Amino acid sequence: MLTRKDFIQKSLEYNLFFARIMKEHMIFIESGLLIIDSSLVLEGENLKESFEGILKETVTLANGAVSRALLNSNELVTDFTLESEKITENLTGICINKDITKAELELVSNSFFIYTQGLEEELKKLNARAINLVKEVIKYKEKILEKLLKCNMFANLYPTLVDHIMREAKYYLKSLEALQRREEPVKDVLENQIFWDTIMKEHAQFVRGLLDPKEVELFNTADDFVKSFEELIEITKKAGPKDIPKITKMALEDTIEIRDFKLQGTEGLIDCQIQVIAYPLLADHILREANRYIRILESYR
Amino acid sequence: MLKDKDYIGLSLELNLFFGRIMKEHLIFMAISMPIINSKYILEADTLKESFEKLLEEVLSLSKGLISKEALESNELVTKYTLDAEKQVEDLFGICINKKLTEFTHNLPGEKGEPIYNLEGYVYDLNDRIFNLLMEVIEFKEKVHQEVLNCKLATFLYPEMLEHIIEEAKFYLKLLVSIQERAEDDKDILSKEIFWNHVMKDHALFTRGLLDPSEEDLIKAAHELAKTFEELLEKTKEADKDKACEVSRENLKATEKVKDFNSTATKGILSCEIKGLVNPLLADHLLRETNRYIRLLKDFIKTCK
Repeated sequence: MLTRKDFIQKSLEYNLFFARIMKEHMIFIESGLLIIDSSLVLEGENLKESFEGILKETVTLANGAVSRALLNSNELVTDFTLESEKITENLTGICINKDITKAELELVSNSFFIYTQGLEEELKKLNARAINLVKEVIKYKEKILEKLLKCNMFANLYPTLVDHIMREAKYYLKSLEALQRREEPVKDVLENQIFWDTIMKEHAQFVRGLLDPKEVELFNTADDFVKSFEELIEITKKAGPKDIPKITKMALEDTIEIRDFKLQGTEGLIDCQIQVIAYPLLADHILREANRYIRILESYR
Repeated sequence: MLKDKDYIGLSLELNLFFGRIMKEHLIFMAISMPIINSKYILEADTLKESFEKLLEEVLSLSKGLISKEALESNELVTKYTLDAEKQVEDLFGICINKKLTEFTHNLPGEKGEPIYNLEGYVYDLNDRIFNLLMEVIEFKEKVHQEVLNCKLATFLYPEMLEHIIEEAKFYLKLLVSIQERAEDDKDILSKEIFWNHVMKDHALFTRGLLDPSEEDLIKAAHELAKTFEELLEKTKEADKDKACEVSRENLKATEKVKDFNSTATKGILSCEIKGLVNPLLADHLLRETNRYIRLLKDFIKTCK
C-alpha cells in the first residue's frame, strides 16, 4: 500500500514521463503515415492533443511535488528537447506544444512540499482520465499494426516500431492501474529489466536501420548494441532473485553506453551532422527513455 | 559509327529500360515526402507524367524492333511489375499508368524487317528525353541538397537520392553517346564499376528498410553489400586483361542478388516480408539486376 506522498509522487512521475512519450508516439505515427490515410492522421492528431492536455495538467500539479532525482535524471525533458521539437515541427508541419516543454524545464522540487488530500484526489481523477486515454491509444496502435501486418496500408514505420510503442502504452496502462489500487507499479525487478532491455535493443535496431548507409561507424555501433542487449536479455531471463545485483550492474553499464550514443546522436541530428531518415525528436525521445531506465537501475542498487 | 538500324534499336531499348526507371524514381520521391512539401510532391508527379508520356511514345515505336535478348531479360518488366504497380497505387494513392506495363509485356519481338525513316523521329525523341532528363537531374539535385542541409525530410536515404542522381546521369551519358552515333565504347569495366556500385547500394538500402524482425534477410543483405564492396574494389583495380575473369565473378554475385531480389519482390507482394520496401521498389531493383546480368552475359560471350 502506497502512502499518500508516494501515490502523489509516483502518479506525477508516471504521467510526466509517459504522457509525453505517448504524445510523441502520436507525432511519430503521424509523420510516418501517408496522406491517403488522412483519417488515421487526424485520429493520431486528436490523441496527441488529448495527451498534451494530460501532460499540461500534470506539469501544473507537479511543481514542487516531484523529487529532485526525477528532475535531475533528464528523463522528462533534456537540454535538446525544445530544439528537437522546433526542428521536427518545421520539417513535418505537425504542431507541437512547446509551452509544456518550457514549463517542464522550469519544474522544481521542494522538500517542504505538503502532500494534501486535495492533490491526491486530483491525481486519482487525472490517472483515471489518463487510463481511458491510454486505452484508446492502444486500440489505435493495434489498428495500425494490424493494417500494416495485413498490408492493407503502408506507413514509413517499421511494424516492430508500432509494436514497440504499443508495448510501452500497455506498460503505462498497467502502471496507472496499479497506482489506482495504491500498489507499487513495478513488482518484479527482473521482469521490468527485460522489458526495458528489450526497449533498448529495439532502439538500437531502429537506429541501425534509419541511419543513412554512409554512416558506417554509427551503424556498427548500433549493431553492437543490438547484440549486447540481446545477450543481456538472455542472461536476465535465466536469472533468479540472487542474481539481481550482478544483472543490474550489467544492465546499467550497457544502458549508460547506449545513452551516451543516443546523446551524441541527438546532438548530431540537431546540428545536421548525421544523416538519417528520422527526426531529432525521435532521437531525444529514445535518449529520455534511456535516462529513465538508468535512474530505475540506479534505484535498485 | 552506328548504323541506322542499330541506332534505332539501341535507342528504343535504352529508353524503354531507363525511361521506366526514371518515372519510378519520381514515384518513390513523391511518396516519400511529407505533405508539407506538397510543392515538391507535385513537381515529382508532373515529371513522372512527362516521363510516362515519352515512354508511351517509345513503346509505340518499339513494336518489332526490340531484340529478343532485351525482351527476355526481364529488365523492362517482370511478371511482378503489374501487381506491384496496382498495390502501390492502392496503398499510396499515386497514379501509375499501367497500360505502359501491359504494352511492354505484349511487345512483339524483332522481325528483321527494314525500318523506313524512323531515325529522324528517334533522334527527336531522344532529344526530348534528354531535355526532360536534365530537368529531372536538376530536381533530384535540389531535393538532395535540401535533405543534406536538413531543410527537407524524406523517407529516402540521402544516399538513395545520390544513387538515383547517378543513375540519371549514367542514362544521360548513354543517351548523348547514342545521339553521336558512337559505337558502344567497349569499356566494360567502367560499366561494371557503375553497376557494382548500384548493387552494393541496393543491398544497403534493403538492409536498412527491412523490419528488424526480418533477421535472416537483413543478414543476407548485409553479406551482399560486403560482397559487392569487395567486387567494386576488385573491378576498379582490374585492367583489361582481367576483364573476363572479373566479369565472371561479378556475374556469379549478381545472380545471387537476383535471387535475393526475386524472393524479396515475391515476399513483399504476398505480404510475407515486413518492412519499408514497397513492392514497386523491390521490382525496380530486380529489373536493374536483370539488366546488369544481360550486360555481363553479353560481354562474357566475347571471352575465350
